[in-house]
Amino acid sequence: MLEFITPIPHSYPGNAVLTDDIGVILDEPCPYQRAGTRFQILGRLKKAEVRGCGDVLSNKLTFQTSTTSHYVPQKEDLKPLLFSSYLSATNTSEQNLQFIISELKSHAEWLKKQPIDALIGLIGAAATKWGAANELFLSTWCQPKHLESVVEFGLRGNKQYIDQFLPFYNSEKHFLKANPRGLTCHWLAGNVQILGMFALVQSILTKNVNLLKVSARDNGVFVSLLNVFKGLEYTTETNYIIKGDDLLKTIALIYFPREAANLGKIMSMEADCRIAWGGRESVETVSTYPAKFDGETVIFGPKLSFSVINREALSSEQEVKKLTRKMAVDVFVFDQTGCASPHNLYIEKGGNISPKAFCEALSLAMNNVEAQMPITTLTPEQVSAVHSIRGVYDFKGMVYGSDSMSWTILYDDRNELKKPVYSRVLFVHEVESINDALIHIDDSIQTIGLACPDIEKAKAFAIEATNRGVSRCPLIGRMLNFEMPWDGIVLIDRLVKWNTLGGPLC
Amino acid sequence: METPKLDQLYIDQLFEKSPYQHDAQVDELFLNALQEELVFHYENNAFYKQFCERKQFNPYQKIQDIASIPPVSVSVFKELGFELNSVSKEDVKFALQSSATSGIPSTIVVDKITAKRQAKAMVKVIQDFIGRESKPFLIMDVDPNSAHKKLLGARYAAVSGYLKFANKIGYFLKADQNDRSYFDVESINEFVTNLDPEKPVVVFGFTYILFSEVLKSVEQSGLTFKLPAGSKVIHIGGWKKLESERSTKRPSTKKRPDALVWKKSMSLTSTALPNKWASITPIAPADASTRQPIPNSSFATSSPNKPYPPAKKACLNS
Repeated sequence: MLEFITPIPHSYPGNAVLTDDIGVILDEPCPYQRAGTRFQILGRLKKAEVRGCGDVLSNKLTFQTSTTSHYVPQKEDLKPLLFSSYLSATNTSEQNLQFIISELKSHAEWLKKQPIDALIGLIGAAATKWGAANELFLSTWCQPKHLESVVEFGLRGNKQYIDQFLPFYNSEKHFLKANPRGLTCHWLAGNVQILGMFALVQSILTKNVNLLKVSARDNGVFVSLLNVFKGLEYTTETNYIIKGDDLLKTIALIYFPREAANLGKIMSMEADCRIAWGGRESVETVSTYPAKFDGETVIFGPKLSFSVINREALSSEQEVKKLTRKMAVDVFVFDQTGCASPHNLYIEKGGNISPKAFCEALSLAMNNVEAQMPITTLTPEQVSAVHSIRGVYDFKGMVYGSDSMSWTILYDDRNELKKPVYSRVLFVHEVESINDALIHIDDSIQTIGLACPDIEKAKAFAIEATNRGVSRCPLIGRMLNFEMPWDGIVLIDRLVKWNTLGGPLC
Repeated sequence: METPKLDQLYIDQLFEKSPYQHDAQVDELFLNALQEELVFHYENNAFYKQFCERKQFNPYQKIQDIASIPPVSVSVFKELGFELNSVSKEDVKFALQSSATSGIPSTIVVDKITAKRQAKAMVKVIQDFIGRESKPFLIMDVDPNSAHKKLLGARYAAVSGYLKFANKIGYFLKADQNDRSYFDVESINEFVTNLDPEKPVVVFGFTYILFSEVLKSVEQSGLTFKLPAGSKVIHIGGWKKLESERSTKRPSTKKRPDALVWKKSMSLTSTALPNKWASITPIAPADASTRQPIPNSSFATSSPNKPYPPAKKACLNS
């Protein structure tokens, strides 16, 4: 990187400036006999290519409809990653995709006949194996007890509605049943693949067959999660046996490049429910595909999140120690690329522990948590982005961070919402009141991690925050923990059709 | 270090030297002038003082090695540019911003002293390349006095900075009724025909305009011009706007006209460095008609059998 040194600037401290240009010093002397160091500029350092949900801010500023692409579809575009049958090598990608869809649909009847308890039990059995694979939260979430509560919450208080006609809660002659929509198509996001699992599980529990398009950055994560179902069996209390291999026939996992719009369109047109995750570009692509006019579309799009800490949460060193550990976890999960990952923290002054002391405690916590959750990638471009923002805070605030640039805390006393830098960079802003942070909320803010021990104060804050657009205000340390509703949506509601028998009004 | 009076500052002594002079005395002057400024910022800029303390840098200590000076990241000027004044707000004459091709512009606030130094440094460096005498300037941009001056935008400041070296000026980027710019091949042809063939000229413009408007139009028109021997091309600004073009249809080596040989590597685009001398990129001029390097040019490139000698870079003191 080029650094320029000059005595010229007098009105601003620009005498030694580190640029983001890259160059090399040339050895051979100047052919025109000029003395001094010769160098060649190679270009500007590439922008770090971390793409996370938090890109929403910059995207809003530079919104542009994509230009027409001249992409020519290739025959080998469609890659089946998990599919129980075989594809013909001579078929086109379009034909193969149609075949996959018809195969999935042919197993829809089997799925409809499975008792909800069998499906919950089978997924619960798989979850114990995911636990070993370090997807701890997913495993906990998929424990039968929790799945039951998710389904009951989604199905008007009774999971059995998905199995049979049952009376309305206040009637004996008016019956209700939830039926699957049919085929759910999922477009997964590379940064938060695992979130797609939560949607898939709910789609299975509502007895929909599922076609999932993974992102190019999947690296086999999803396939390995689903492979757990191979050879798995579950027997219900009533001795009904369900086989994982049969369930896998109702699920297909594919990949094709985003440019293969023809395949995207087929997938979209066939879907009874479309679920898209990811950044603006990805979800926009999906939403512009043609779809069934009565199909459901659920977009879990680009969002940004932050945290707030009320002074009463800073009562003792012990409390702060616990809180900083949780805060570090929120920043570290998914390497901060999740839509629920915090990039800013607003912390009230006036507590027993000062915001600055909190930052010091947080830096200790980050060091500790890092040992268990090392950063997955740190490219030279990321390092440069971190270096550059640290440079700014050397001027305007305080910098705490690891020498390896793997995490950074940037403290100041300005009530600002800073754009995500990613790579585990947290901006900490000292504020008079957590309510000062409300001005940063609009509907692009998804989650606010909240540490506010007084539940009445927390409720007052959450009323204001949700009014302005926030979807959820979980505890700090659980920001990335998937919950239902998510993004304001009770997913199960979108995955079923409600049908009635008898009645009404009797 | 004894603080000299304003008219005896080390930097003023440094300015008396030729810009590419390089010896122990100049080095000493440079370091002293630099320290003079670092101390000034330390004492007059709370932000900078805090920065130095964080970096455990004492500007009063004699500079042994320039690498020991903590560098300020360009991002600081993007975020805090307007607040980074080391002189009083009243003394700030204007703020300069980079063209912000990469998003947020860098900002520097400039006082009379800095502006004077910038101008002085620029004159000295440019004269080292094009000589002390003023010359005809062929400007590959829009006439700031024309109805289409708004097309010029921020380029105006850069273009006007060079006019002091010109004794005759022609602007050859024109615009049609729809404000679409085009390169006026005919009028440059006329301008060149009326030039004194003995007196070198300077072709001046932004790299991306030279590439996307001028070179293409000249190629398409099939016209050739003969510039006076010893003429120079100065092009400034970034290559960034051409990046997309470069990746899709990079000009083939064979088709690239020798008349204007340049490389991306030669375009100094350091937006944070306000000193104009850092963004001057004289290049190897060549005779457009013969497509051979101009022999009298101080930039003339060597072996004629190699059509694209490794472009000779400008030698700029760092």
